Amino acid sequence: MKAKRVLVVAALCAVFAGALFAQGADPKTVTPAWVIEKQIAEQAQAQTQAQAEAPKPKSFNLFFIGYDYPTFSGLLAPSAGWTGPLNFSLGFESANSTGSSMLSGLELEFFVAAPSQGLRLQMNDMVMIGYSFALKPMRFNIGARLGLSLLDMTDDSSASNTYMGLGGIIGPEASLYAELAPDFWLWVRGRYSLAYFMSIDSNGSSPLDTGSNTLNTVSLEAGLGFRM
Amino acid sequence: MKHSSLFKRYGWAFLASVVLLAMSCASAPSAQAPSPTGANTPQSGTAAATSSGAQPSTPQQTVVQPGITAPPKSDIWPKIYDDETYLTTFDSSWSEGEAVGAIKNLQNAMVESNAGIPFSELDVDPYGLRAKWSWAEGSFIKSATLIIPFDQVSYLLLEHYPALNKDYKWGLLVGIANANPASFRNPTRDAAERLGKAILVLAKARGAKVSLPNVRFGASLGPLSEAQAQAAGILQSAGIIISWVFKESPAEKAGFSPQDIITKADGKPVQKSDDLFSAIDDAAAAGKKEIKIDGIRRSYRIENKKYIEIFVPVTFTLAIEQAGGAK
Repeated sequence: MKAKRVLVVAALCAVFAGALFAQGADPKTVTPAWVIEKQIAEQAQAQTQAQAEAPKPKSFNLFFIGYDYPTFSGLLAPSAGWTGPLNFSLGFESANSTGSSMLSGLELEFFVAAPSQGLRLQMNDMVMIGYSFALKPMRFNIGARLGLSLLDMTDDSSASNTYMGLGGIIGPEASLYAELAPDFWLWVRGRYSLAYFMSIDSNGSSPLDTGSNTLNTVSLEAGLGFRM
Repeated sequence: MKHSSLFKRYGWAFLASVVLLAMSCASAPSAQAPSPTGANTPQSGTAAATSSGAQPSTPQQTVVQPGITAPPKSDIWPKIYDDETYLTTFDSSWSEGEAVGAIKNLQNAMVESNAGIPFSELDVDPYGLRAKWSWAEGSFIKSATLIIPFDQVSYLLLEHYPALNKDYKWGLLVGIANANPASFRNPTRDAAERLGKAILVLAKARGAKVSLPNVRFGASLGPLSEAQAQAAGILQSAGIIISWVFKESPAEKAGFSPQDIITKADGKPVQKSDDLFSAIDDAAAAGKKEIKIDGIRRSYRIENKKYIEIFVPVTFTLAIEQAGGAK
């Protein structure tokens, strides 16, 4: 009986003591809100700064130059299908995007042949519209070129095969660009083009005057590209 | 023994315990049970209670983690400054003449705070300090002046600007009644303190009422705003809030932080800063080495990738320095 009384009194004393001496948490264990807010702000600032300082992905926007290997066919090919070693192209291509996007470009293409009987010069000036697929670290471009072609034939052995023609040229193409180093690309291209010429200077009996006015070209190209 | 007779014998004790608990609860700022880390942790707009009831579980330190939604910004709390204010009494035994001489000797060791330009002219007498500084703007020479009438000095603060990207990182802020404070920067703490001591000597001599921090506590205190009290879930009259804590002060050593709310000192309610200072002085007079100060700290916990604002009851142990006293 006495023991029970002592127990009850002790329990009540414990309750009183708990009520009277209860304390809040140790301030060292509670991080003030402003400290957390400051850290969050610093973290956000560091993130913004890192984003600003991070190298921005560069768009596909380059100057290219390459060597051409053409194969001619069509009505003009028997008379004007001379091939020589001096075939090259240069121009610009721009996707203005790091990802897959529309593509545009401008290209100058020269086919020069100088066999012993004369000189053949063809200059194609073309715009290009297409689509560029970003296949990092490569890009695959497809599109079509459209432009003007100037053909200047000088055949010492045939006056009728000496003429100058101006025509339109159109054709599909596909290119593959590989980024070898930052701002530096290696590329290959295949193109099929159809050109329709009219005579602008001839003796009246040139193939263009007799209706042979088409020249088709399969050209394989390879070269280097430099980011602009 | 039957239960009825058990209650008869110990009913007085039971009733007394209920009354005590009720009194204890009534004196607490809020009746909600604190549980900063538990499931019932109060969220923004509610408050955890201080003192009474069960001992709160120890809250975990909230660590900033990436990918957690930042809390909404709240501008109801005292602003946090990068500047540091040091606790000092500026006490000295200088005469007025020595004080005037000390200021004159410091001419090359002080610049106007904002302009950072040395004073080209400094005129000091027992009634005031007049300083002039000049700078070139294009082909013009411009100048500005600063005047401290010593009888109008209202407070003095010893400042340190660790984030300042200039020399002269120490400074003195001189409050002037009914005017903007004058602010000096000095190359060393000693120069700033000497300037403060000299100005205090001359201000006291002119009868100025200079307010200096309570050296037994060392924090800038203010009343709770309605919004702050509402956010913490307490009555506006149930506490005071800390604007900033002086460096090297007992409050800093006790772990007080800006934005902490003080509700009780030595078990007595604190409704204004004098209540706190009286409790500290009473404890000092009683020869106590320390007193317990109850408060509420605003913090955050992370829940569902969000920072949730919480108000945690905290108890500080303030060491009492016997020298000095509440001012």
